Amino acid sequence: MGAGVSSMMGMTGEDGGQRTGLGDLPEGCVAEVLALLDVPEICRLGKLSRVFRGAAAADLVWEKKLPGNYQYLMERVWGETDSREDLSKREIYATLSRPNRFDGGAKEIWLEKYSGSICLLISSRAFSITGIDDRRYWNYIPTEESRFQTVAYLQQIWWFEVGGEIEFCFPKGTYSLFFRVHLGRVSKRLGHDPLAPNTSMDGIRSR
Amino acid sequence: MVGVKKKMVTLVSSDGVEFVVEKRVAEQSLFIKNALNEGGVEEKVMIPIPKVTSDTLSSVLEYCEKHASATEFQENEIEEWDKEYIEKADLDLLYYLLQASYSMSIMGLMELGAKKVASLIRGKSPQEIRELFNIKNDFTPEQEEEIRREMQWNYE
Repeated sequence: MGAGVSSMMGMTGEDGGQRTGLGDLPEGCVAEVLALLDVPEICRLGKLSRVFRGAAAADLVWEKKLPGNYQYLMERVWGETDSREDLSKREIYATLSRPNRFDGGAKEIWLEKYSGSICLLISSRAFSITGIDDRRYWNYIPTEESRFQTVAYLQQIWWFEVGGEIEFCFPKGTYSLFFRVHLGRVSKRLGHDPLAPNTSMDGIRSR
Repeated sequence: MVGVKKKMVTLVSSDGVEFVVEKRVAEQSLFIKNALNEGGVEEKVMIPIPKVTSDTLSSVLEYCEKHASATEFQENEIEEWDKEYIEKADLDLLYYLLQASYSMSIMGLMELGAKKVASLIRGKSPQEIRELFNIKNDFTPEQEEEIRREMQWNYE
């Protein structure tokens, strides 16, 4: 190497005098840094200066935050014909981070705010429930307790078994699966006040 | 054979200091690699590196030298080396390294610098970040209002 020991004593900026700051770096550089942070942090930092603002809107940043299959998600939510190609990656993220109904409004999908991982909620309407049409056993009742405003309500039964199968493209990862089952007497909040013990089912939430 | 002659190139920093380095070291930078490919002939190549001072370039080349010989080391040795290398850089050098690796297209170094800066940012308030990294608020009041509206979706 041609030069001797480098001196890092001078704390002045290379443009002379003024101390250099992170905001003086090129936008693409700042974007590389932001891409390593959480979504709420990226949004906060976008308010620091013009360069940070530009970087916080860069496709490079949001591409890394979106799940690998975001195009599939858009297709499921908006259909193949409406590809929304004019949206920036940040806008896509913003849209997908809100609950989006699809499959006739019986399923809802959104991205978790911090990690960008996929959350899926399925209404009991989209369940295949044995004997759902037999009014002696099952009924759909309206309720504020479900985001879908309706749950499958079970009058009486001697045994109960739940199995699950869903066709959906999730990116590689570990997911939790929840069935929301409400056992026992339904409170008045469920909008129903029967005397018999009962079960109502809401949906699966997976992420 | 009369000894293997190493191919050398000369890099010139923005403050006019010449660095004579092996071609394979300099080529850790895609910017230089492309410049050499375009140039064709390799006799006495001089490549100016704009906006990178000698202090920074010397540190950048230290990184390039190590990574040009990466195959001679275990992977975790390189990782350890990277960690120490970036740990000893103060904030100012960190900026310059980021800027230089960006303009010279040295992906590994840019990633390393970005990771370090990100780790310093994490968990700090905007005000703390502003002070630590000397970031000036250069928005107009109108822009600030606009930003508040734009970013709202995240806090819903």
